[in-house]
Amino acid sequence: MSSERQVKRRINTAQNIAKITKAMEMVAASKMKRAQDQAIAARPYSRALYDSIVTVAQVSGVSDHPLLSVHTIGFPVMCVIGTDKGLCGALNTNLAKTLLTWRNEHRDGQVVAVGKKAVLLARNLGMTVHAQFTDLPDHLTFKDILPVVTLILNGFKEQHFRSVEVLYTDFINTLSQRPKQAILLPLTQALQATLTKEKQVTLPPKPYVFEPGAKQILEYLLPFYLENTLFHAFLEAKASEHSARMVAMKNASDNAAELVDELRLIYNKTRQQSITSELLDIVSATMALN
Amino acid sequence: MRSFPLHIVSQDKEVLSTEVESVTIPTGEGEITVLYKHVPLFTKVTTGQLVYRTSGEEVSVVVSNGFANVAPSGAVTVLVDSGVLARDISVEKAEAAIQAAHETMKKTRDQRELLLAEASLRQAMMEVKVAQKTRKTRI
Repeated sequence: MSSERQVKRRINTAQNIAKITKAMEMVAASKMKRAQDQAIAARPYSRALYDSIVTVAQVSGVSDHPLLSVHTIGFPVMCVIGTDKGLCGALNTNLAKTLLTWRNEHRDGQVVAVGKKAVLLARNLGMTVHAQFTDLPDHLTFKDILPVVTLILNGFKEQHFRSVEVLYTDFINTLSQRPKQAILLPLTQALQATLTKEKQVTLPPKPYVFEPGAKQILEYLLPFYLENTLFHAFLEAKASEHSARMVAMKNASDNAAELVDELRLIYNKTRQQSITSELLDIVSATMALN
Repeated sequence: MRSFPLHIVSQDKEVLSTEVESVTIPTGEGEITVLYKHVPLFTKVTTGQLVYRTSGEEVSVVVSNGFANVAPSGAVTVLVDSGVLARDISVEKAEAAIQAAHETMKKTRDQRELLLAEASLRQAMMEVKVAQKTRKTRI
């Protein structure tokens, strides 16, 4: 019967899809483990670095470093860290929502897009893409993000950019990721909030000694801090991406299995029906003969 | 001798967190040794051998560029790009890193990549040196 065969075909399709999504889930799971480990392992360093820069900025007083200066020339920039590939649930859509709010606040804002999906996202929102970086490897090293850092640093120093913010997906755990927006430059804005908050608490009782000098240290520390913050954002984004993809693919596999069960029931029912009607035919035929 | 906490954190992990009696850190201005109740200090760390002592035992750690912070509380935090305990050094790995660094230095023209390769070269060479030294003293 034709409907029987049709159902059979749908079962096969669903099973094939389930196989593919299962494979993708496993690939994402192995990548996720590595990315999560990398992101979590980098956290103590970022925290210690942050503590150090707060100490130094507090003790030495905020100087006239180019990265600390606030200027009104140029346009605001948002660095959006998205994914290269799709099939990772609502990850990029959530980024889009935050980006839309930002666009409404900064009409002249431009985007530095990381990942193909981020590029598409910015275009769909009708925003200018200042630069785009795609096809970053799964295992990130410092070298991979250097071009992004250099672009941001130079753009800000040459006063093309008024401010730089970063938008990425913060990794909380495998099941939940949240878009996070942070100010990168000017650093005064990023540091000010914490500085005023912590100033009353810990003023060092003894004078701090700086070698070679507070100014040199700060000059070295600030760009370094920026690089590290951005690198950390990248790691978190990668971990989130793989986690989201794994969960999405797991849901897809589960749904496919459910569909197969339902279809199998329909298939068995129609098969049983056809057998019954055939039997009826035979029985009625023999009865007519007798 | 009184002891104080020492934390060594590298880019990819927390290398060490322990109580020590003294620690010698390679800095841009030469080596400094920090004892209990050192004056608060913030300094740049260069690639080299960091040595800490605890109850007569001496342990080496190969560190690369970074910072050291002696907090007013006396706790020492060393932030480095990478840090390897002397007993964890693998000479083969270090030699492979030297090779790789040489190759990138030949190929690349990018200033920053060159600097990175140079840094990893210096780090790997230091690892080999420290590994040889500690092995000698053990025999």
